[in-house]
This record gives sequence, structure tokens and C-alpha cells, in this order.
Amino acid sequence: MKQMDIREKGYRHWEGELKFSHFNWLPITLNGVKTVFRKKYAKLIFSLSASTFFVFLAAVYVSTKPELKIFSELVRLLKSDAELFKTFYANGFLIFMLVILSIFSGADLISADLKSKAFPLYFARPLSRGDYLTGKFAIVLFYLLSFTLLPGILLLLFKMIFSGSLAFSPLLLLGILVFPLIACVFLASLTLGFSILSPNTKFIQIAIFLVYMFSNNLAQILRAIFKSDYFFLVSLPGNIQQLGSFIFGTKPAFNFPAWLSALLLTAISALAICWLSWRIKKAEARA
Amino acid sequence: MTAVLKAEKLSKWYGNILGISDINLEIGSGITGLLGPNGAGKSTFLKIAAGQLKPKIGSLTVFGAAVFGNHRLFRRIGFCPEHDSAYMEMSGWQFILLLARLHGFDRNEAGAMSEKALATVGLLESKDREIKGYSFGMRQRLRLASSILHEPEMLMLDEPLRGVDPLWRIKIMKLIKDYGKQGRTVIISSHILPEIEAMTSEIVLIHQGKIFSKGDIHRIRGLIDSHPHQVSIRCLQPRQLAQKLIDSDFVLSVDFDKDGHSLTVKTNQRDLFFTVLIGLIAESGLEIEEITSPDDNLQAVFDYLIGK
Amino acid sequence: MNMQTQNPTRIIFASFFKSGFKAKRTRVFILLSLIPVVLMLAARVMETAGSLAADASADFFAKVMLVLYFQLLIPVLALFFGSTIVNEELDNKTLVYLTTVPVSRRAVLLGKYLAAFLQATLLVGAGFLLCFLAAALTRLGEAAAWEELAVFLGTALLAMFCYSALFTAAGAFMKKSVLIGLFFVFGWESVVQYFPGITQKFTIIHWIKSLLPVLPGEGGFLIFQLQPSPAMESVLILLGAGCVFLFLAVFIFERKEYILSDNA
Repeated sequence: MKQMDIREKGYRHWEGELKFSHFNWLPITLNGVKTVFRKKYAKLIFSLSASTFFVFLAAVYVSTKPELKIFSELVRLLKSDAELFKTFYANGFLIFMLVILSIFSGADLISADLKSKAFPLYFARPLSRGDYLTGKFAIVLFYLLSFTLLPGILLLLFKMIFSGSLAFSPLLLLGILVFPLIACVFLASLTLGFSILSPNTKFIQIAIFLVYMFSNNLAQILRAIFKSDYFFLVSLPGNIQQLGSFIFGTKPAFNFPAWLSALLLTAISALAICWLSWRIKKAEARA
Repeated sequence: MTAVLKAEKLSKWYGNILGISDINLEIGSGITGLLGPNGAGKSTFLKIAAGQLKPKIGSLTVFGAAVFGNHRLFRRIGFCPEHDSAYMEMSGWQFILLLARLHGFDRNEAGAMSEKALATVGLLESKDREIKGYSFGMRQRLRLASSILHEPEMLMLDEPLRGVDPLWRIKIMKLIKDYGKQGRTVIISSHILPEIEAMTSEIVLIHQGKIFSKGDIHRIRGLIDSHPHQVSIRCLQPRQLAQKLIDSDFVLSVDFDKDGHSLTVKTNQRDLFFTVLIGLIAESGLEIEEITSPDDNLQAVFDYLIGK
Repeated sequence: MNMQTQNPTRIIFASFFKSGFKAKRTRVFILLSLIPVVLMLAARVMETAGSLAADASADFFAKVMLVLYFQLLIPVLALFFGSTIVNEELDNKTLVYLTTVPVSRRAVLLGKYLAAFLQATLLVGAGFLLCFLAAALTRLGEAAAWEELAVFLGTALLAMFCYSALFTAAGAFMKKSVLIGLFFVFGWESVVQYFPGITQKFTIIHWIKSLLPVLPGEGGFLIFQLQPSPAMESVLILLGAGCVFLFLAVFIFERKEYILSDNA
């Protein structure tokens, strides 16, 4: 029988250049965005999320037309731009839809990877934990910002067009940019923080929604019993509303310092990101 | 042959994707291999036969009755699915025992049947371990156990050897062959040709949702007149043999192998070729070491039929 | 071979009831169900310590029970347990094992439904009972207090039955039943219950609230714009609707073919 050569076992020297890219996360995001878009009921949820923009667009139009006095009662609360944008961003329906969007786009992002044991697929490639998390984060942020930041900027643009004046307050613009960023980063980090808890996506969806509803109901109950608005610090929508007041400098919805909500939301986001990082590290080690 | 399974004009599609198309098939007792590449329609066919899917057009009956919604039929049918799935939080014992109870056995009988099924597939020692702690091969064997638990008259196995180690492959193949010998009906689907060949010669070739051929593998091969057969002959004087064969009308070509000790003959009349060859050997006294038919196997048949 | 007739519904119920309590998510729901109890105890302690008004805990009990349980926990637990009856089998690709045994699909669904219903009811019922005991500690000798508990527990049972049957039917019909369920409970029911007249009757929550005692004070969370229906009518509607939904669930499950995705 012919003897088989033993192949030399060794490492090949690679002459190439190892390139680092700051956009390793981008393929994860692009794929995720397309996947969410193709989901059933996507268009329905997007339409509902966008409906607030169209309602406020009509309101903006009316507010720039003094001749439309008949509607002045309706737009009374939109006397100031700050009030307009705060009401747009912090209205109950939009917050509800943002939670739905977070669940829709983000609840299964990591739980599906847990279920299909996909971590080895990711971490067998030159992908860091940060890249993985950034990629997933960006998917949820994309959709949340599409229905907050983008409409906010469009509302401002339309306001300028309808009023015929390019004048706007830089602080207002800052508010339009900052509020969605803080609120959406909070919702995205919360969603992903839950998503990593279990491979059962339905459980994650319900858990996120339960936190949203339960926190608000609990705050209302505690406020009714203890007669203090501070209990709205436990309310997810309540904090987002207070954040709006803080950023746009309007009268807060609840009787406690609005900056507390901003601090709380930022702190929860930071904690969620740390938690995610730790859990991904464990998952990567097991992969 | 009394048909146990009968499919008439059976078609199934998923939206725009065709699963199977216009299948007419009768399967009787013994082992029948359902062979085809991935996506050929094997699993679709078996799922319809196992009552998991409904035909879009046509019909499929097992023991003379439609399967979907006919739960009583499952006293006589066992199905081993292809998906790697189980109730992961249960132990192997709890899982099999549950199925045994659902098959109508009382507690004692269910316990005995479960023990027997688990022992058959070599999982008796790990029966109390949670299924999530089983390896892929163990879960595959557990699925097999779930299908043979109630000793059904008809067994449908969708890729039963996937992930199973070589030792257990042999044991499971033997189990399946024993089932066939007992007169039960066994349908095995696979895309791995040697697996099917090792268990049965009765095959159904399926590709792109259609049946290409059905019957004994050798007979099918013989029927393919459009493609020449290859016969490889290893002998000490290959050139002399080639000289004697080359002028025959039924010999299309002769090629010599690199080692110089064998030749491969292409012929379009296999039976005649062998008759002549035997005569030549007897006449000339040539020493023949080995005669094989490289393409008289499932792969070659399959490749020819799907036009590769 | 002794193949006595065993009740397959009972076998499935027993197996899934037992395995349901071992699942991690059940432990999470147990913790969740205890949150109102903790709040109730805190309110009671504060009332005893004089930090709260004398009747504050009774008021708190009404609000906790009614809002947290009837508007939140019961619908959400019913949604989760109901929709996963079929969908979990599809997600885990284990439906094949239950549909290749000589057991009717009806028995499979009913067995799983009973297991899920009982689990959810026990979760809610235990919390209810503990909250009641905390709130009515000084009134336990009064028959009226126990009557009140019976009304709450009975209503909770009916609510759980009706909601879980609805979501079981939804889960049998479609895969994405959770979002639809959330929209139904927190969208449709939240909005329509505030509409006057007959439109309220197109929600389950209306019939549930009609069975509950009227809250003291004005502007209660639940009774805003409520035009309650008679109690007997409400019981019959809830029972009837629950039975219809359950029948629908069985009807769908018996006839629908479930195509397993090859994606995990």
C-alpha cells in the first residue's frame, strides 16, 4: 500500500494587511432593517406610527394661517413652537407606538440568536461585542428615529415653508434632535436588554409591554394613594413626557423636576447597555 | 402487491413554491427508499402521508383512508420527523412515556413499551436526563424511538440517520431491515445514497417535486438505455482484452486506467456484453481479477435521470 | 397489549400543567403576580403606622385589584398562555408529536388549554387572595368581606376564561397573535370602553367591569363612562363568548395545516 505523506502542520504566513473597519456592524444593521421591513404587519405599524406626524402637520399648517381663526381653539395649546414639538414627541399615542415599534423591531433581535444558537456564527468572525451590539442597536434606533427625529425635522421644515420664514430657534432645533435621541436610545436599550433574557420571543414581547403598562398603572395608583407626582418616576411614558418638558422648556406634566426624568432615562440606558455587554460576553465565551 | 400507501395526482405547493407535483405512487409492504436531493419534495410527501399537511390537488391514502384529521390511523402509523425538535425540558423517559400514554397504553404497558423503545435505540441509560442535555445524535435516536414505540404497521422515517454515529447507523439500519422483513411497510427518505442502498433496493427517485423513477435500483439502471453502462475489468492483460472487445458494435468505448491493470468499457447493451465477455474469458484463458459496474449504483442512476 | 381507553385530554393536561410550572417564564409571572401583594402589604403597614388615612388600604385594594389585575395582569397572562398553546408547538416544531398520535386534535388543544388556563388562574388567584387577606385583615370575620372576595375571584375566573379562550383562538389562527392581542387589549378595549352607549359592549372588559362593585368616588380608572350591564347578562355573555372562542379555537386547530418554517 502506498504510504501517505503526512502534511506539514503549521501556520501559513499571511502577507496581507489586517484592516480594521469602524463599520463592521453595518451588515448586521442593514440585514436587520430589511428583515423588519419584510415582516408581516410592518406596513400597518409604520402607518399607525406615522399618523401622528400627519395630524401635527395639519396642526402646523393651521397654526401658520391666522386667517383660520375657526381652528384657533384646536391649536390653542400649540401657540409656541416648543409646546408644539413637546406635544408631538410626548403624546401618549406616539409613545405607545414607539413601544410597539421597539417590540416589533427589537424584541427578537437577540432572543432569536439565542434560540438558534447563532452566537458562534457571529463571534467566529472578526466581530467584536461592540460591533454586534451596535449593529443590533442600530436596527431598533433606525425605526424609532424614523418616526421621531425624521418627522420632527420635517415638521420644522414644513413650518418654515408654511410660515414663509426661515427663522427658527437654535434651541428648538437642538431639542428636536436631542429628545428623540435620548428617548429612542432608552427604548432601544430597554428592548435589547429584555431581548437577551430569553430565547422565547413572545415572552419578551409581553414582558416589554407589561413594563410599559405596569409602570404607568402603578404610578397612577401610587399617585392616587400618596398624592405625590414623584411616583411618576416609575412610569415609562411619564418619564418620556417629563423629558419632553425638560428639553423643550415647557411646563412639566407632573409636579417634580423634569431633569430627574432625563437623568433616570439616561441612567437606565447606561445600565441596560452594561447589562447587555456583560451578557454578550458570557454568550461569546460559551460560543 | 396490496398498496398500503396510495397517492393519486398528488400535488402540493406553498404559495409560489412547488412542493410536489402530480405524484402517482403506490407503496406496499417492505422497505421503500425515497431518494432525492435537498428540496426535492421528499419531506413534503412524507408530511402529507403523516397527516401534517393537506394535499392541494389529488389524494393520498394510507390503509385506504385519508390521513389528515384521521387520528385513529396513527395507531398503525409511526412517523419520525426530520426536524431536530423535542420537549427540551422533559427527560427522554417523560417524553416517550407521554407518547406511549397518548397511544392508548395503560400506565404499566406504557412503561414497558417505553423501556423497550428506549433500549432499542440505546437511550435507556440516559432516560432520566433532560432532552436539552442530549447530543444531536441522541435526539435523533429519541425521535426514532417515538416512532417505533407502538410497533406500528407502517413506519415513515424522514432522514432517520442524520447526525447518528457510525455504530448506531449500522444498528438502526438493521432495525429498519428487520422491520421490513416482518412484512411491515417502511418508507425512508434520504439524500444520502449509500444509506438507502444499504437498506433497500426498492427506491423512488424524486426531484423538483416529481417522481423520476420507481422500482428496483438495478432494474431502473437497466432501463436507462439512453445512457451507456460502464463496466470496469481488472486483469493482467487488459490490452489483449480490449483488442477483442473493441470491434463489437455494442462496445462504445474502451479506456485504460492509469495503473494500467484495468480497463473501463462503455456499452449500450449490458446483457449482451456480459454474455460475450464470459465467452471471451473462457476462450482466451485471460485472468480476470475483478469486474465491477461503477455506475450501477444509486448515484449514477440519479445523476443520469436528473441529467447532470 | 392492553390498550385501555385513557382520557387523552387528561393525560395532555397533566403533562403540560406539570412542565408549565417548571418553565422559567412561569417563575417570572409568579414574581409579577406578587408585586401587587407586596404593594398591598406596604400600604397596609403604612396605614397601620398612621402614614396613610384609615381607609387608604381598602381604596388601594380596589385600585390594585381592579386596575392591575383586571386591566393588566389577567389580559396579559391570558394573552401569553393562550397564544402560546399552539404557537409554542410551532416555534419548537413539536406539534408533530401531538398530531401523530391516535388522539384527536380537539383533545390535544383542550388538554393544553386547560393546563394553561389553570396555571394562569392559579397565578392570579393566589395574588388576589393574598391581596384580599392583607386588605381585609380586620374584616375577615364579616361575611360581606368574603362575599366581596367571591365576586372578585369569580369575575377574575370568568375574565381569564374569556380572554384566554379568545387568545387561544387567535394563536391557533395566526402566528403573530401577541401583537394583535396587545392591540386588542390596550388599543381597542382601552379606547372603546370610553365610548358611550352600545359600543362599550364590544369589549370583554365592559362585561367584566359590570360584575365588579362600583368604586367609591368619581373618576375611577375603570368606571369612567361605564354604563354597566346587568350582572347575570354579563356572566352569560362572558361564559358564552368564552365558549364560542374556545369552540373556534378547536375548529381552527382541527382543520388548519401548520407549515413549519425551516427557520429556527
